Amino acid sequence: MVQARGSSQPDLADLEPEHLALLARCQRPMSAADLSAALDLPLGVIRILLGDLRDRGLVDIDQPRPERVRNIRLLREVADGLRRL
Amino acid sequence: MDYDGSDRVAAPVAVKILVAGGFGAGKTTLVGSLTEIQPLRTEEDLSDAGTLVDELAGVEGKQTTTVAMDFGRIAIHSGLWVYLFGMPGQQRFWFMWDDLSSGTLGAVVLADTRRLADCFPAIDYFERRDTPFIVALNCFHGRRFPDLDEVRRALGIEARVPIVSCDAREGRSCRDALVVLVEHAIDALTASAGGRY
Repeated sequence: MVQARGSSQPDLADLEPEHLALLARCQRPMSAADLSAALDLPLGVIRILLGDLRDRGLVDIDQPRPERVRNIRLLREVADGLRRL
Repeated sequence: MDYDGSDRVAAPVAVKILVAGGFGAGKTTLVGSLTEIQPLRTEEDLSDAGTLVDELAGVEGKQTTTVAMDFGRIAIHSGLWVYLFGMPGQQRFWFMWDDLSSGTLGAVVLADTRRLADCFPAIDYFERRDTPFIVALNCFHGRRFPDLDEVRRALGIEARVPIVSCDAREGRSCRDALVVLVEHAIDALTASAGGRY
């Protein structure tokens, strides 16, 4: 999951249009996969662009955490939620 | 949704489920049946992308191939999302599997009864990594199944691994398969925790 940091005076000079498009789309939390679909760019490209944005301190990236899928309560919530669909 | 004390919206918890299986087993269809967003279509015309390399015996009607991957999303509620990732079946994309499977809840291995052996690599992969998985026999084109026990023997999978039948085109049928997978993951966790939960 990715989210823009929202600094007041971000230095956006020499960013590519794709960087700016990514920044605009992750003002709210977004997954890299969603960004890939929204911008119609391969996931590998999105990850490189997001890496650039993170290096400049413009976004926070939350990596998948294995401990989440070892949380039985969370898994039960997923199973119950799926059944309600 | 959690509130982290600032005016930022807390990120939803994202859980990842993989959809694996051989080429032409119906992975893209299954992801498309379940997702609420426009699935990322990575299928290309076979004539353009892979005719020379993709083995078509048994799936001659297949006009497209997934050139990279596809994914979909299901919102359980505003703070919990399930992401579905199709793992490309062709051998030339196996290098992506490690990346896709990191932090995953588990996998649905879609099997096509016409080409059962095509899902061996995926089954082998998840067994080795100790990733919870189920086998879902895709009954598309109105095909009837052989006995599920027969399939279990043919695939050589353990009794604790669930096998279900599903229709990848039907959202409800795919949803049921996901529920079986999540329950299986819970059982596996409970067993490994020695009944602590």
